[in-house]
Amino acid sequence: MQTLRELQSRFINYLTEGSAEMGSMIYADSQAEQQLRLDIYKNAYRIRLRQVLETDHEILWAYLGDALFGQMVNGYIASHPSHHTSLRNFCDQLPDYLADTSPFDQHPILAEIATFERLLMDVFDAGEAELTDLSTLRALKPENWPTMRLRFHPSVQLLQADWNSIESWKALKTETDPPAASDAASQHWLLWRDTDRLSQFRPVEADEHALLSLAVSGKEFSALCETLLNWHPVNEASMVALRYITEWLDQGLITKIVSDTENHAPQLV
Amino acid sequence: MVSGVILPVMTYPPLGFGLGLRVPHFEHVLQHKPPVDWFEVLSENYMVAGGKPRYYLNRIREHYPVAMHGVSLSIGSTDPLDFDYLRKLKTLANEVQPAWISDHLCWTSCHNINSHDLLPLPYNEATLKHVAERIRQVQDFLGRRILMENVSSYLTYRASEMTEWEFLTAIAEQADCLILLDINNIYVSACNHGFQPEYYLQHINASRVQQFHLAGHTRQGDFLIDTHDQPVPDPVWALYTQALAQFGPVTTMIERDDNIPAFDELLGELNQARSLVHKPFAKTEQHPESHHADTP
Ligand SMILES: [Fe+2]
Repeated sequence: MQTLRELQSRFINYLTEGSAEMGSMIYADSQAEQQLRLDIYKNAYRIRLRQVLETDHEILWAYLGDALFGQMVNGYIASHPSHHTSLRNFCDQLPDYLADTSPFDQHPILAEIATFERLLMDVFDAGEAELTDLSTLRALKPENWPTMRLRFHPSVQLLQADWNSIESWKALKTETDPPAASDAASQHWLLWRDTDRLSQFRPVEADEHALLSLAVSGKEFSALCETLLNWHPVNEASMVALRYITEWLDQGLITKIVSDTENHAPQLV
Repeated sequence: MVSGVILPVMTYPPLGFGLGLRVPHFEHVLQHKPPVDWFEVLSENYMVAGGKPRYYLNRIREHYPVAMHGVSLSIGSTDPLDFDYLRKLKTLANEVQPAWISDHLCWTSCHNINSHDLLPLPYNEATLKHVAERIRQVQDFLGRRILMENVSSYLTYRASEMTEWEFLTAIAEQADCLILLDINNIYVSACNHGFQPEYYLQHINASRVQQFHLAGHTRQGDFLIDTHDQPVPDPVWALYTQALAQFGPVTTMIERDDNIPAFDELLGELNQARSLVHKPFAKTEQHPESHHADTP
């Protein structure tokens, strides 16, 4: 008698590759009945995974249309069987798949739209963290300003879009035709979850993006001001930085403001 | 333990009549606190760091008992037990404090490929030994008895040497776990395999039955498919009535995962279940968390 291992191995191969070895393992009065019974499982497998792609990448589906999306579904399901306990992660490799697989790799905007949709999911179920407000900034002693660092909400994400992917996403979301794909204007985007637990995103200009990237990576206020010298005169840099930080606090992006003295606990002797 | 003495099976106190907690109803439940005794949540949907699902679950938990129902334990798999998954499950259980935790008597993955389906097991001694041992490991890890649910199936393996009810009964005894009896799954499998559903019920050890599931299904040619997208149909109500006659009142919930109607419609269905139960639920003071019956 075959072992449980062999049986499960054949069954999984049947689901993922349609291998024919499965038939001899089950009871059926006829070849036709055998096929009907096995098809129930095979169809359910494909439909379930297809539904995840459709739900998680609804806008990509609208952008591609049914035929190309269907081709993508077949290719992705065949090449990326799920290794996760939750279907939440089934499409994690979709942006890479689109970037590397013909004919989708001819249209880099596709991978970008998929990346954006996955980032929105990350924003949706990122961890919780209590926010801080302007009062912590006001309470900061002047000598602590240069070494001040910001801690961001776990939902905060930055995305660089080389193509007009997010404009296309927005158009399709409101059921209007997307613009022709174009890489004429690269744009940075900020995504986060607001206090009503709604996912938000907005474009950020080059100076704010430079500032955000450094702040998110934990750089000090003095380093933030320094990077702004690429865009602003020296006497305005700290004011511009402060204006952006105030905006971030208002938008619920910041959970903590730490200064150097708090950051490094004194050594115990 | 004194040999020859059969100790009673310790079950969890009953919860009454519940529904599945589903995304479209989050806000309604929180706003209106509908008359539902408890909610069943799909564990995997809440194994995320934060956001709306966790927010609503925490709020709703303040007002209702909750049981955790999983689909990814893959208890019958020949892959090693997924302790990463079990740790997440335990963490969630520590936060949610569920009345109990259930999953399915099936397998879902092999070679680390997850079918995300509840695939049937061949019912024989080798499988019995393999699965019972894994259930015991899971129960030791979680520090509590779990419930194993019978699944719908569409095929019978040549490797099976016993019926599903024999297998389920034996698993529950050997693993010392509890049973979540899905009435719809019994009906669906009975139609697909040509057995009498009453016969299935008669062979289940009542003292291990902790919970019932009710649900709807869909006909596809000669087969019934367990779709959870329809109201509970008459034959399932009839089988539920028989189950109540045999087991007495058992904690019951209605599963609806697709084609989800307004909350009040599900509440109406739940009241139909309520109306079929004429005796009070037996209260029990026993605590299955300490499932070592021989400790004083
Ligand atoms: Fe069920």
